[in-house]
Amino acid sequence: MMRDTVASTTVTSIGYDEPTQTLEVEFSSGSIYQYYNITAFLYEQLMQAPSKGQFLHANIRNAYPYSRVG
Amino acid sequence: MASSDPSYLGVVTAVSGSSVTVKLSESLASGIAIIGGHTYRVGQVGSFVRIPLGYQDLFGVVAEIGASAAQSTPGPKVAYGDRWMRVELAGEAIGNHFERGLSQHPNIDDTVHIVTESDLRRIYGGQDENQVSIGTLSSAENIDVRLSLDALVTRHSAILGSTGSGKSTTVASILRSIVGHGGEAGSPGARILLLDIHGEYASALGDVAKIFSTTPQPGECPLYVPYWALEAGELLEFVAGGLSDNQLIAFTDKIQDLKSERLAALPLPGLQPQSLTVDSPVPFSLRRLWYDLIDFETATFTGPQRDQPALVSAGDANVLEPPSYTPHAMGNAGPFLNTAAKGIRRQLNLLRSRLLDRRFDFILHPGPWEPDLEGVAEQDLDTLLANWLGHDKPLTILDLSGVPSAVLVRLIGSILRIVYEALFWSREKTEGGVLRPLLVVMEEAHRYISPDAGNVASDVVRRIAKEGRKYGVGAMVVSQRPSEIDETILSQCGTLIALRLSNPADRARVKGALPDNLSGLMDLLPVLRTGEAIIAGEAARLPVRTRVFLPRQEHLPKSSDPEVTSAWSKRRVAEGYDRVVASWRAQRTTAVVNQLAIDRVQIPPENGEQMPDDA
Repeated sequence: MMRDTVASTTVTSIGYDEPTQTLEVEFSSGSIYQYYNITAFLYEQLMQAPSKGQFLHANIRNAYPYSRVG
Repeated sequence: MASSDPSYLGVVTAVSGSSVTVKLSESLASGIAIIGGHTYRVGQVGSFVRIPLGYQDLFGVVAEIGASAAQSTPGPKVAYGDRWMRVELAGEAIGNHFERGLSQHPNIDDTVHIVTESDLRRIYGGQDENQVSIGTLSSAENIDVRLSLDALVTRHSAILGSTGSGKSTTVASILRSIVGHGGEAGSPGARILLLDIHGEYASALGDVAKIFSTTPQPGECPLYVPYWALEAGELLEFVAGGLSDNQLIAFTDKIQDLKSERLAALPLPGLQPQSLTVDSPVPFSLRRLWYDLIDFETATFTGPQRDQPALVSAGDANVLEPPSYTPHAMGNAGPFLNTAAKGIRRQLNLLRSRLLDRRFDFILHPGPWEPDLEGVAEQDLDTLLANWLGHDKPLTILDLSGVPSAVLVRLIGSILRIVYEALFWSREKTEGGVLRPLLVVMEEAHRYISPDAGNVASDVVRRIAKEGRKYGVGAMVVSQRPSEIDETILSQCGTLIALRLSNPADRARVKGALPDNLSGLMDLLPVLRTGEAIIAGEAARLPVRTRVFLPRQEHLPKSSDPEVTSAWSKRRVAEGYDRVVASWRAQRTTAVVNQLAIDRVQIPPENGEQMPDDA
């Protein structure tokens, strides 16, 4: 897939479900993704990161399974 | 001999039919001529030559070049190294007026000249309003190639090329040339409908198009095709499967009843009750059709006259729950079966499962166009057509990438039928096809207008190809397998835009669609560069080898091929195939295993943050 580095996609909202270790992220494009097997520790790190998008890209996106849900 | 004229190429040595053999001048051994400050490459296959004959100029295309003498011609033996070329004559010009066809032939020793920019301007007639510039000549990149927009749309066209030859880019580029680049002049009032099978064009043409999709992304509109606008036979074949004559009558009678009932309750403009047919686009409820027919099929009766229904529970048409009757019994006491039953229970069961199948929602449950049990829908067809054809963007993209292939052909057939019928009957209105013509671009046409794909879509495409010209509906057929496209349709395409094609069967089909003397040009098909095309036919004055304009990076169609190397080079992360199965069962790509209600907190926008768009 072509990585389109021109488009800037920011995170609009983030949610977390601890029992199922599911992270849900809404991007400004409107699409919603769920990331699985995310520990509560990682989620807290994400919430404290100054740039959510960069943190997601660096630590979560290529390391955990995900699925588009909306 | 005018050897001081820099455009001089050589002399005619043989003429046979429309084919002319030319002996090249020795002064052109370098292969390059500089005329008026521009460099021209001499003797390129596919380039043009001019043969002046008094007031007339004949124009031809170079088809073949050789370095030994043309052996078949008798006469004194020519020294080794003499170069010749075979030229196929295509047309002639008197003054500034160019015409296809020939009124006379050249003779031996007539001079042959290279075609310069000013000659081409004569051929292409300057900057006429109906000419659209779509690319540059391959041999001279300073000369734009223009096509006649009128002929391109009304006489139909075909864009053919192997995978990877730049078909989608060519389509995107031509459409963008038609509607105008950004602020540039073009046809802002164009009306183009693009059937996008792979979802490639939303990114390429999104800024000039309204996009409909069965799985809409943010900013796109949902695509609905109301079933009740289809012809009854076509609809029944889809929802009820194969029907015998008697069974078909049972269904069509009921549909006719429901439609006339609907019309009596709430008249529709333009439709007289006495002219109502089973094919009239009148809303009716499929659930009601199913319920009424299944009720009749399963009813049992009691009583001495056998006319008292032995109803146990009435069921519910809205949730497709069948009515239940006391089972029939042998003997004289009853209950008795309905002797008039039509024997269509199997077909009704298929109808019920079609209505429950989520994959067909966009056609059987078409959102605001879905009628209730009384046949009253929230929206009528006018809003549907206004959505598709009457918006302020010149282009409508119907993204069909989410449609299961089992219904793709039917869906396309239905869309084209609705659009064509509407424009056909409104041909004397300003919104009709004659006064506001429509161009339908059919991507991957071999998938739905091949003889194997059945008749659902090819019938209506064939109609557009044959008679669309009179009613202002033009077709642009795009395919990588020309040999699989219905021959009638391809032969009706007045303009052929052929990109690189390597399969021999496909090339033969393209060659067959061209006049004989130009088939030599089509021998170039396997060696065309990506994005290079041979354009021949009504819209092009002369058959021409063209480099189609490359759209800007952000306006390129999205190639959706997976990146195998980079995907396989990463270590596998934990996989959950339960999610895979959940999506499969739900027939929805966004399905999840556990429906979680996760509250998301809003994140304030950050500046300067960059993310790949597919995260």
